[in-house]
Amino acid sequence: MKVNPRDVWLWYRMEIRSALRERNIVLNSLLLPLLLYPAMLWLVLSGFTFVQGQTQGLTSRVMVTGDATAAEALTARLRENPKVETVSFDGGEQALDARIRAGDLDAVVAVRTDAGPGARAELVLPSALGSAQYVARYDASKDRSRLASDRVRKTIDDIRRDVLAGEAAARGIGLDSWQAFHVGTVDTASREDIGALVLKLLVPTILMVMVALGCFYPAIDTTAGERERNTWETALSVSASPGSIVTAKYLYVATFGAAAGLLNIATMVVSLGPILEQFARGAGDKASFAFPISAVPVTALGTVLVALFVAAGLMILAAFARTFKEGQSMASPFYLATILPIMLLQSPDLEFTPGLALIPVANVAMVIREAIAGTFNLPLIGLTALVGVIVVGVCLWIATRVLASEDVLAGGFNGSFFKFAAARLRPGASRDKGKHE
Amino acid sequence: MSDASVDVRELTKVYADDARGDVRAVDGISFTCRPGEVFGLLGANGAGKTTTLRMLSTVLAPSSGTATVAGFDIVTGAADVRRSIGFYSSSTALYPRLTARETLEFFARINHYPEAKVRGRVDEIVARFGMEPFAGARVDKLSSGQKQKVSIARTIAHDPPVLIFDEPTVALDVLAALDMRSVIGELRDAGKTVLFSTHVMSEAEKLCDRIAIIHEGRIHTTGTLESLRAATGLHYLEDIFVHHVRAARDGEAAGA
Repeated sequence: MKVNPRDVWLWYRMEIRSALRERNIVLNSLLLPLLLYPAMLWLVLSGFTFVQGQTQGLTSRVMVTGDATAAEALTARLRENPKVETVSFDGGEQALDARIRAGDLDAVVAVRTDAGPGARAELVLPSALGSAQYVARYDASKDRSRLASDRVRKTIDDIRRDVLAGEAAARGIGLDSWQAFHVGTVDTASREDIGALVLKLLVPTILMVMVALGCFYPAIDTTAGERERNTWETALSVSASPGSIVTAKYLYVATFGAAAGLLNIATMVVSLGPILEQFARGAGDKASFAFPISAVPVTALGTVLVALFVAAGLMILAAFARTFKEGQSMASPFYLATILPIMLLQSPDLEFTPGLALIPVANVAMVIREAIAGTFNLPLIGLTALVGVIVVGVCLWIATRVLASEDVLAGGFNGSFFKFAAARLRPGASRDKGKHE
Repeated sequence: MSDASVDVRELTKVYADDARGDVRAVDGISFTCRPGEVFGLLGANGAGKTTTLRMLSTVLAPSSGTATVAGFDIVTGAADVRRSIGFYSSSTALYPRLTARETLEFFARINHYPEAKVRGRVDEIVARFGMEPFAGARVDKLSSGQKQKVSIARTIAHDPPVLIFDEPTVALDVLAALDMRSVIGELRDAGKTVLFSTHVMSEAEKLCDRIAIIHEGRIHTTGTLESLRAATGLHYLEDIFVHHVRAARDGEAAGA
């Protein structure tokens, strides 16, 4: 396959210029990675916060049943919370459960003051509430009911604390001494570690999706789209060799894929930290979501490697299509196959092993994940790069075989890449009749 | 060495067709074209005209036979051949997102027209085709007639010695077709070789210095209009064409 760098450059410039004038390509390959994801993230988090705020503002309708004195005491404590409304309904346990499921009631608290047959006499407290048993019934599938249960639990915890404090004071000891033992925990993770835990799951996935999306439209546009617009034969009749033209097209598609990824990284570096921190204000002191600058070089190199692979794969598949629509259906399975393994890597404890380093795209996602967490395993990074170079090499070899097939090149081949592979790429398959210089 | 700018010898193209087996779209055709000549391939749809022109423009590779264009072999010197031709057909559309001027500049450069002269050449062509009002407009915003002008203009942007036009007036209105014929005449006067295919008899009569009648992949006769008239005793090209097609069919029937 003859490739002339001057012709490649001229054709590449023409493709880029054309693509930058195509609304769909600019939108999907450049604007989407640059703007939409931070915007979407902000919208989702805003929505989440809004819904959470709305839920917190709801009044909990709670019914207290059981021992009259204890129930009255608990009702009085619950009423101290302005967000709790105590209500009353007729019926047994099943009827009340049905009301909870129907949303007429948020929780029912049953109070028993007998300590039970196994209770030791010295542990049964004399106050009305001190030795009571509380059973709260609620519907975990309903936000409002879960919130009511939480509010009831908090009230009961407050009662327990007050009772224990009273009993401790009556015995002339401090509340701390009442505890048989204390359990304490110390979190050794830094703010950056906590932030990295979130970033390493989020960033590689979005990044790989962006690179694949960045390649998708240009790959189809420059192959199937070119056939649909009847410009492919125009291309074949100019002095530049098919090898030069396809090389230029390949570099153009990879450029858009890499640009989508790199723009996405830039956006994340600038905006991800502030956005996430804004919405994690409750844990604001516990986490830092800034994208680590030390991870940028590895992330950028990984992005380029994935772009080269995805561009080659998409172009090979779409080259067999005659229309843009056909190209989309032929290339979509590869697009999904590229993204799906990344989706499966969502376990935070997943280790980057040599086996994972052999899976294209997933290996780059793992390298980026490790880099965000501050780990740079050079042998595995090297293996990932090697695998990347090999798969790109295989794709280019397939591309040269496709290019050498006159019927595919001239649009006479009737079928997909898989038909072509079965007929011409398997060992012992017949070579194509026509050859192109 | 021949002074022909297009020299075709026993050129054959066989397609492998799943349903029909091997199909001989072009079957051992030979002809030559000289500089300053308009040579017409006259044939019905499916006669092999487009396949022949695609082989000469190196879009398709021949199954057998040889051909040279501007002195370059269409197989071993394909890149040189493409640099020496301007190829136009109904399936050689323009890049819709480039402007008319960008299109001409791009095709001049990609076909290796000297860089220093590209701007001047493009200005000249824009003026010749009256494209000034729309030279800066994107191709996809142009009217059909304007696109047609740009299409023809881009084939000559690099000033090639040989022009290959496949049915250049098909789907054109009367005035646009007239324009096209006028361009072909000018190219001939400028010493270019124009090889074009058509199934419109009047067009071939008006334009062609020599005509080859092609039917079912074979050339049945080649000559000037006068020589074809003399050989058949018929005046109109349509009658001459039908005469040769019938003779070919009768020959096949007798052979069978």
